[in-house]
This record gives sequence, structure tokens and C-alpha cells, in this order.
Amino acid sequence: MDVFYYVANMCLCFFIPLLVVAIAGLFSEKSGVLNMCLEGIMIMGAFAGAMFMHYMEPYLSGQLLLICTMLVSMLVGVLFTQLHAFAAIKLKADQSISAMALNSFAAAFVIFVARSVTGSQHVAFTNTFRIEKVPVLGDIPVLGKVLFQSAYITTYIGFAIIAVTIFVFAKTRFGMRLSACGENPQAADSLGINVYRTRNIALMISGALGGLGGLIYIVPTVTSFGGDVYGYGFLAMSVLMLGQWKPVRLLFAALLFSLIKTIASGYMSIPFLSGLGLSDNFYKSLPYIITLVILAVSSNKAIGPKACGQPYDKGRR
Amino acid sequence: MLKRKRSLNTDSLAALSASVLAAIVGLLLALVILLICDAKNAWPGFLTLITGGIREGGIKAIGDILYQAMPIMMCGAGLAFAFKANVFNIGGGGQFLMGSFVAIYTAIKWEFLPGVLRWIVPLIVAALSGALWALIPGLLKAYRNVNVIISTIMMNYLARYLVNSLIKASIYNVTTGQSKSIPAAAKMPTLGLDKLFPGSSANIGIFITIAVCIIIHIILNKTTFGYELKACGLNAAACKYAGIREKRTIVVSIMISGALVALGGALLYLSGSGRNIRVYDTQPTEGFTGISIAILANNSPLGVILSSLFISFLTIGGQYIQSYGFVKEIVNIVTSSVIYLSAFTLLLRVFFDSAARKRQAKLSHTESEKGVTT
Repeated sequence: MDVFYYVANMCLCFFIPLLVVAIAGLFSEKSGVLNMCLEGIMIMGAFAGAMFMHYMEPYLSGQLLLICTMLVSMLVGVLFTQLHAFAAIKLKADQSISAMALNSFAAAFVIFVARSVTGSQHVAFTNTFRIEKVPVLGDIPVLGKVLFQSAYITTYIGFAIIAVTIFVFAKTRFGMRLSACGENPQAADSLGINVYRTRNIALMISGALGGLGGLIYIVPTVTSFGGDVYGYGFLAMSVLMLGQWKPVRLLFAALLFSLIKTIASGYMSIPFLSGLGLSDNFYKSLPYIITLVILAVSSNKAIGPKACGQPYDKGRR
Repeated sequence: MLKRKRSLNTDSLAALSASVLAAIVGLLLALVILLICDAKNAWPGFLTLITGGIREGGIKAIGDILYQAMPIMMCGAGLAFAFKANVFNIGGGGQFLMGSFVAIYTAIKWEFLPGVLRWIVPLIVAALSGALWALIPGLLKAYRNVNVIISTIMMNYLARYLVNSLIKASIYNVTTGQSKSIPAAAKMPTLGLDKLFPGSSANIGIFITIAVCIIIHIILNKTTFGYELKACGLNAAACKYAGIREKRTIVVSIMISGALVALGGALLYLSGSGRNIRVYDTQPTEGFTGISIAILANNSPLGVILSSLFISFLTIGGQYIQSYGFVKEIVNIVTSSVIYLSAFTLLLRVFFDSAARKRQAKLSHTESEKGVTT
């Protein structure tokens, strides 16, 4: 049973950021902007958060610090995505190129600033955010131990975000309009929806969630940020494809990926797997191999938003 | 016909001027960053950066620039080739790594090869391994519609772990934690470049690379295959309609691309400059630098020669800039800003075009006025 709780806890650590970042991609791609720079946004968000925690630790601690840090990461994510919005929406540039440039910019910028300011590539912070046990809820058998013991508030925020996202896309006017901009922007425009503004707002949401995702990826797992999120942004994009751009399916896709990821990094502690005697490199490769296989099986059916990746030109109807 | 040729020329001229402008703005950004970091040393540091360290390093720096440009030029040429076919091959890192490993492995183990074959055969085998590695995302794209960017990135991580375990199983040097060094017999000849630029590792590889760029230019612009490839890049559906086998074109383009990138890796490690593959979890940077180079060159193989020399120039400058207390990652900031800016080339080209049109309209207007008066 201990193994089960261990796996469940670890799985949650991977699941929540993956889900949040996949939702970040969802908002952007639903509105018709290909957001290939999720990796870069995550790096910027995680870095801003780590720096903030590094310098604010003497003054703040616990949940208050975590909430402030989350706001900082989200803000930085929004600002950084504005660069992509400027290129992709305003100037109608090639969205893949702009995104790849921003990815490498983020990686370089983060290392540059960390080395210039702190002298080392790694920005250290102390983890004071773990909640040992939530009163009452923590006593629920099984579920209580998984969700409400030694937990982080980021877990609950992650679940709240997916709930809101499902609601937004299913029930609200904003969600419908956003999807319309990604499916047929010309038609949306003819109905009086401002395509540029809608896409811009979608990208801002995407940036905020991406930055947040970067932060909640590093908080439970490491105590110093070294300037890399190890392809997590791209894994999130695979989740988005496997989830076929539908919020509820994203939930299951993210769960599947995080389970694989858990097996890959925690196999030593799972008696059944460590007994197999396979090499470390094999387990490390596992998430990527399975991603490829899953994509190979599901991509033919996966049809994203129709206008995704095409800059909208008002003059072209 | 004549008119069409002229418009093509202005096209490439506009692309070149856009890239140059992007480079200048990127460098100005670097100056601003240096000024923010340390105003006192900013100007000498900036001068070092834009002179490629030639002021400090002298003739050795020139050789270093050539040596540094060699692998990234090959990567740039390979990636530009795939980008022309609209196959966004981000898997440079993995293909580079596969090529590097296979080259070192064959250079060490295949001792039965005579003479020059000791380095020529590893180059060829490495290129083949890169092509095979790129075959997987190519097939996935052509037949299963898997997004190339995602699949090639997954292949990058796979290559890293695969190469790590292969090195450990075969050519691992336990004391350094790296692959073993190649034997002197498998080293590529320097053709006297070591005498010309003493202290640097420049060798025959730079000539091979430039030759490959020219060959790629010819393939793209003078052959049927190149035409089909570019056509598929512009509109795959129309190509299918016109009877071009677009699936085969996708697969072949990414295979050639992978082969060239892998060749870049092989060239780097067969230079025998003491560099070996480290066994750790980070991707080789050359794959991503190659993307920047290809984009900066607007996917033209001849442009790749220029843009890779430019990036290499900055990289060497960045190494010398560290003596002023600056961090060398500033070079990566500059290159990524330049790429970001060059994503706007379209906008800039529209601007140039409209300016040219206005000038022409004005010209014809005044001419017709002249006609009226006489």
C-alpha cells in the first residue's frame, strides 16, 4: 500500500503541471494561435518564481509566499507571451519560427540572468509550502491520504483550473467565441467578434497558465531551478493532441502521461519494476517512446482547430 | 521571363537585407544588455563581441571561427533542406548525436580500414545513421500524420538516452565520464590550415561543408527533385493533385536532412581536437543553433554559409567577452532575438515591395508628364 501512495503522490506532482500547461496550450490553439513556445513560457515562469522566492524568503514564507510567487510567475508568463502575440497576431509572422525563437531566448535569458545576478546557473529556494494534513478531509480513507496529506495548494488550484476550463468552453459566450476564432475566423469576424482581440486575450490566458505551470512543476520536485524544464512544454503539447483539444479528454491524457512519467522516474521504488533489471536509460526513454506510439495511433484522427497556425488577415475572406 | 528573374533577385535581396537588419537590431539589443549589466565594461566588451575576438585572439580566432562554423553550417544546411519542404525538423540534436556516436565508434573499432578510408568511411556511416534516425519521424509524418516538431523532439531525448547507453556499453572512458578519443589515424587531414591558423583546429571539414552547401543549392534549384520538394513545401495538396508523390518527398527530405546534420556531428568529432561526447542528460546545442542558422538564411543553402559564419563569429567573440566579466550566454540571447526579428521578414518585405512600387509609380508618372509636355 505504501508503494501505491508513493506512486499516487509522485503522479500528482507530474499530473498537475502537465494538465495546467496543456490547458494553456488549449486556450491558445482553440483561438487559432499555435503556441509552440509553452516550453519557453514555462522556463520563464519557473525562473521568475524561483528568483522571487530566492529573494523574498527572508520576508515571507508558507502559503502566502507561494501565492505571491504564483502571481509573479503568471505575470511574467503573460508578458513573455505578448512577444509571441505581437509577432503572431499583430505582424502575422510565421508562428512556429517566432515560438522556436522565444524558446531559445527563454533558455538563454534565464541562464544569463542567473549567472549575472547570482553567479550560478542554479537559483535555490526553500520549500516551505507543503501542507502536512488538511483537517477533516485528510482523514478520508485512501483519497484523503492521496489528495489531502503532504499536499500542495497547487494541486487544488490545478483541479480548479480544469473545472473552470471545462465550464468556459462548454457554457460561456467567451469560450464559444474563442473556439469560433480558431475554427473559422472570417465567419467569426463577420458576426462582429474582434478576432485579434479574442486571440490576444486567449494568448494572455495561455501565458498566465504556462508561467504558473512552470512554477508548480518545480515547486514540489526540486529546490533549485537550473534553467530547464526538460521538454515538459512539448509533452504538454502531445497531451493536447492526444486529448484532441477537448478539456475533459485532456484530463485523462494528462493522467496517462503522468503515470508513464512516474514509472520512468520512480521505478526504483516500485518492487515489481526494479526487479526486472532493465537499465536506467530504458526507463528514462519510456515516456518519449510511449508518446510517439500514442501519437502514431491517435494523430490520424486528431483534427485540431481548423484555422490553428494561420495568421488572421482581415482583408482575406 | 526576364521580369520574373528580376523579381526573384529582388526577393532574395529583400530577404538578405531583412536578415542583416535583424542582425543589427539583435546586436544593438546585446549592447543594451551589456550596458545594463556593467556600463563601464560594456563598450570594450561589445567591441570584442562584434570583432569575433580577432582583436584578442588574432589569427587563431579566425581558425577557431572556421572550426566552430563547420558543424553548425552542416546542421544549418541539413535543416534548411527539410524546412524548404515544410518539414519542421527540430530533431537536429538527436541526429547530430547519432552521427557523432557512430563516427567515433567506427573510427575506433574499424581498424581494418586502410589509409584515408579511416576517416571517410566513418563520415559516410554517420550520415547513414542520421538518415535512419530521421526516417522514423518522417514515416510517422507521412503515414500517421504525427506533428514533426513533437516527434523529432521526442526523438532527441531518445537519441540522448540511447547514445548514453551505447557509449557505456562500447567506447566508454570511465575516468573522464566521456566517450574514448578517436585514434590519430582516423583524424581528418588539416590541409595546412593548422599552419595557416596556428593553435586552432580548422581542417578539411570546412571545405567539405561548403561543398555540401553548394551541392544542396544545386539540388534545390536545378533538379526535378528539388522542384518537387519546394512545391510540396508550398502546397502539399496541390502537389498530390499534380502527381508528385508527396509522402515520399516528405520522407526523403527529412532523411537527407538527418544525414547532413549527422555528418555535422561526425565532422566535429573526427577533427580530433580533444572533444568527446559527454555522458549526461543535456542535448547538444548544435541542433538548435542549426535551426537559427537555417531561419536566418531564409532556408537558402548559400545563405547558410554566411549565417553560420556570422553565428560562429559571435560565439568566438562571446568566449573572449568572458574576460570582461560577462556571461557568454549573451550570444544565445542575440541569436534568438535575431531569429525572432527575422520572423518579421515578411512584414519588412511587404514594406520594401510597396516602397519599390511607389517609386516605380512615381517614375512612370513623371515620364508620362514629360511625354505630355513634349
